Amino acid sequence: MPSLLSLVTFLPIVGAAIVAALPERAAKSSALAVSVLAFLVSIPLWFQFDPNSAELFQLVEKMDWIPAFGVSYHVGIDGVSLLLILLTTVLTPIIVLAGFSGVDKNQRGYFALMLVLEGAMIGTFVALDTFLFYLFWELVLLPMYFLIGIWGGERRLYAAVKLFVYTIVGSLLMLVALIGLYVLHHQVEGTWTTDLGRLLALNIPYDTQLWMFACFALAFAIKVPMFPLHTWLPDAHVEAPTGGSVVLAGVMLKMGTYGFYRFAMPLFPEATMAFGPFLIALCVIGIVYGALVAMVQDDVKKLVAYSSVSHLGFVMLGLFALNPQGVAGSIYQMLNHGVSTGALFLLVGVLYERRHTRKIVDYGGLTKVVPLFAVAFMIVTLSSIGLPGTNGFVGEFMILLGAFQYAPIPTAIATTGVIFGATYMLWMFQRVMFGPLTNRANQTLTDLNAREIGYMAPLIVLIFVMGVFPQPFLDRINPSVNAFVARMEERFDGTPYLAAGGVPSWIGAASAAPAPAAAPHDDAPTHAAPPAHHAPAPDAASGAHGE
Amino acid sequence: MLALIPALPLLGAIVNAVLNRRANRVVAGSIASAAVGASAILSFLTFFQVLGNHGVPVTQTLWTWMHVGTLNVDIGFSADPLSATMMCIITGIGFLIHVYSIGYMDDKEDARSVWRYFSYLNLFVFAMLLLVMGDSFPLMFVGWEGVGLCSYLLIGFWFTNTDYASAGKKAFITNRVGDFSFLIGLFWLFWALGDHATMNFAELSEVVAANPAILGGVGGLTVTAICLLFFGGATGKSAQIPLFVWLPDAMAGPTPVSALIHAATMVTSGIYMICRLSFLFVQAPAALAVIATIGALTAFFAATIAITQTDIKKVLAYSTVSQLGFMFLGVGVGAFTAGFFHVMTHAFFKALLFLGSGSIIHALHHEQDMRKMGGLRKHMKVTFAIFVVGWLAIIGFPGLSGFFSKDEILWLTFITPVFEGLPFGSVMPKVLWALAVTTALLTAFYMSRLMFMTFWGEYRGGHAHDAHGHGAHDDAAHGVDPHGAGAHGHAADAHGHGHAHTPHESPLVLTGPLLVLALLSAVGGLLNLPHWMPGAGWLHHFLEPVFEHAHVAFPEGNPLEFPLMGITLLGVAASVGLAYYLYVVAPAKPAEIAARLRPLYVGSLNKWFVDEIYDRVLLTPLVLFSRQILWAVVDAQIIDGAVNGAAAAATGLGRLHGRLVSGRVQAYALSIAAGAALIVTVYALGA
Repeated sequence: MPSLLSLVTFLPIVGAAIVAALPERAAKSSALAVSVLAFLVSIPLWFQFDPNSAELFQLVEKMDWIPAFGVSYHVGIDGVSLLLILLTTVLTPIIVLAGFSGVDKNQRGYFALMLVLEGAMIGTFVALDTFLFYLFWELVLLPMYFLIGIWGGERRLYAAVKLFVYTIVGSLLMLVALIGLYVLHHQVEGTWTTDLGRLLALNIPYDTQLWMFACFALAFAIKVPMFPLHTWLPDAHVEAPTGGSVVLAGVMLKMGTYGFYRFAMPLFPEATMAFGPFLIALCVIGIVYGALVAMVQDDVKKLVAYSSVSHLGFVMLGLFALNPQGVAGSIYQMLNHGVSTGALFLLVGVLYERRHTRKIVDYGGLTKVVPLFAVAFMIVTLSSIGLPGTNGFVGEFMILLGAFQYAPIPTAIATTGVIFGATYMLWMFQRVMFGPLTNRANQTLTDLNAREIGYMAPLIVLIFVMGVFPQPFLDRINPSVNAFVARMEERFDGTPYLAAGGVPSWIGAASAAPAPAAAPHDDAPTHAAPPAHHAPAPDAASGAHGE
Repeated sequence: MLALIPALPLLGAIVNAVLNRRANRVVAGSIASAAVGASAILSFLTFFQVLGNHGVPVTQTLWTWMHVGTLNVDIGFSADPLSATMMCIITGIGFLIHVYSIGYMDDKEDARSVWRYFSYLNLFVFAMLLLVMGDSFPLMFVGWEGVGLCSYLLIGFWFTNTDYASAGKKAFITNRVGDFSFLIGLFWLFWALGDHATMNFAELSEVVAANPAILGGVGGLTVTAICLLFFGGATGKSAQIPLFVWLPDAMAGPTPVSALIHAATMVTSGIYMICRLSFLFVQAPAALAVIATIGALTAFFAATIAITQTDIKKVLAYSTVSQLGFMFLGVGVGAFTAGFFHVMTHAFFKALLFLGSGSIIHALHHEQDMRKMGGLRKHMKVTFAIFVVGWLAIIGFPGLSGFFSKDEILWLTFITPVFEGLPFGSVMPKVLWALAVTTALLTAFYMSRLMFMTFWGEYRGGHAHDAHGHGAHDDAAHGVDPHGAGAHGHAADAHGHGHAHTPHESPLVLTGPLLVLALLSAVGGLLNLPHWMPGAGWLHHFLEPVFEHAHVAFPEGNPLEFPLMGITLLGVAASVGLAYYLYVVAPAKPAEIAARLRPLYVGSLNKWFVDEIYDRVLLTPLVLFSRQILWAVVDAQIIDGAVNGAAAAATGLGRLHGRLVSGRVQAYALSIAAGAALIVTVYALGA
């Protein structure tokens, strides 16, 4: 009997094999059974995880895997992993249920791949060994590639290849950095290991941090995706089948932000500080740019895809705030985006299945014929624009509050996203749902059926529950976030850039980074008089002379 | 118990949403009215409890909302004198308007969706109560955006009309611009408080009282900037320059909605917020000066538009913008009680005027054009009588509620000490006073014009088939009126009945609430009589604990008070007389004057083209830039061009395509592995 965490991870993958082995006509029911079982099995995680424990990582399993190379099977979860796993296991049965219609060929393959995807994504969230993480990370790509390439729309091959090429470029760079880290650990400590905990204990020289962080950041930034690495996303979303879009927006994008949170930033704190202003600038550009481009789309799915670019910009902004409010808000917003944008893609899918068009101009006045759909669509839209009382507000508010301390002016610019967000969503909503019902093809649209209500209802409940009672979630996020922030603050004194009674530093984030020139180098074991308050701590610097 | 006050309307909204089409107009309306009525009873009980407590707030905390780092926000309510008064206004007037709506929303076409109307209306009361009862910024913000949402939904209630749906969207987005400013102010405030950071109003007030210099002290840059940002939020919600443009369009909603949301309650949120934070604003005289100036300018500007509008609701809408300007002028000169007093009296008389206009519109089958009214005092005697009360109240006829509140603002503007030390600080009060008095005269003029065009003369309607013809009528014969006339034409489309009729008096369900409001408009002034009358300043005294840390010492015993009041009154009388001459005695004159002052007339009629300017200068360029530059060039050509180019250069996109079609992704997996192995080897050897 494997322990709980492994069970949650591998059950979907084993289930995928079963679905693939069973006859085609059993595909739907067996896939639903597996995904529901995977969800049920994941529920005890919530109860077994103790938010008040001193142990950051819980339910840990660790065993040697390839001892010669120092590779171990090491899994465990903190509150952040916990919630991302639950997000995955909640969304998967919904996606399977949505796939009962609209998947018109090779259903076995479709559902089996979806379940492999689920297992692989959970794997990335539990892995505490960098090799294991990389394995799961790459494993995610293949099912997604086939889901788009086989079950996608007209330009599915272009979209699939684009996704593949983009992601593989980043992944390879990450691999290079991982290997570099592996070798560095051997040089310093004399042992081979891929274990995250032991790599975190390593003092990595500043220059080395810079290029390693750059490699990791590129891989993760593509996945997020951050401006200007986002152009694979709209194509992937538009061509992907509904289920593919939901899993892509709902969970896969979070692998990028999670990667920053779990690996890139804690492993390379000084590099994080150094790149921080640059990445914050990209976040802010992404928020505004994504929103403006979303505004002018005439394809509903593309609009939602660009809105993801904007929303994920908020998530990244919160991470780089490096204070509890910003980081916790960022984690929370990952969950919110999964719920809200997942729900949006499901609703777009409902329309697409009925009318086989995603063009906004083909719709209009639908509220009259599909009132239930209209209510669901309105609620999800409001969640997406962060209306207080829904989940979106809690995350956005904490992110912007947190980020304002670190970078007031960039955050103020980012906050315009709340205006543009309302603009593109409500404009789209109006053109699709309001006005006279002019297109005769829409007059016979049928409202949500029982199955569709069944899979939308949990998401709509979550939208309100997470908006009104966020604290149980935050209680689980907070210990992890506090540890993260503490690790970052070890490396700089965390002086708020907005002192009491003071005026914020108008250049914002630019003042927050350690000046690269002042940072210690490999060949300079004695640190060359760093500026008083943004320099890396001495212990980080003294580890620099490995040779 | 406190939590029940907002919970009941929320429950009502949910019940109606669940009942859905099963609830007809009377059932849905009764449920909604009962919910708000019960909430009103509890609100008045709370009010008297606070009164008995001598202003000590009644509070209740429900659960922890967000607790992260130094951010600690609970779902908690507080009823102090200010919020308790607002609660009574919201639920009291809200109840009347719910009852009125049962009679008003009787169109057959709406029968299947009337539950939605009442559900939204209840939801609005819930959100508005959160706004005033929330004990922290974030909870207030829930209400703040929640009322915006309900406003959006109710303006677009007849959503099959694209213009109406657009008006709703415009309201929401314009409000979001204000919210943006509000949020930035809040973030700044939070971090500027340093170790004392809090989101709770009571705690914030204590922190600022204990550490007066924490935000830089009186006149400090930080506190001034924060206050201006908060005021930016108020300009959205309360329709002030530059964000007032949404309110006139909001009249697309059903008329009771205009009365409740766009006159009596929601639009006064900005004033409420400034009163709530008065202890901050008194530290920022420069911000107060901006508020007073914007308020006075908005009041004047909106009044110049109101004088030429022909849609009865548009006149009232611009009048609301103008009166809100008066309120901001009041709080801007440090007269928080006076500003809030005007919130109260305005709630009475403007709700009355809107509902009265609703009674007319209902009687005339959705006719809103005053050029097609006239002579209604003969046909609608009750409506006429209550309209007279509202009219006299708003123009400041001595003894009625509007007289006391408006006069107090005017006088305190004249003598305010808060601008001392600012550039032009000594002349500013006089200039603002002059502007405000001019506005008061314009108000008297356009309200009288409305009265005379509607109730005097002969009935000019009755030809419903002519509803779309914009024939030459006396007032705006040469008008260029793309918005007003266009929107109005749609109203006739959607709800006109297309047969000739004579106006008839409205039923009791409509006139009953009107009579209550008429009474309040008449005697509401008693709540805060001026200092020279017996029993003076009751509201002032009641609100003292709220403004404890926002005390402004207005000089007393100025001999000019009565002469200035006399000037105002004479001017008002003259304005009424002028309107009587132009619209009763010589009804051909207005067109002549309009022709002679054509540029001014066309400007006023078209709202000085502010919408068009915003559209040309902001919206169109933004959309064009996004579409033509960001999407078409940056995304499609620069970024994707680079990606595609790189891919093509690296492998030859054609071959790649071919291989992938044949399903050989394994080749890629293999190349990942090979590449990785290569790198390991090189790196290991090198090291």
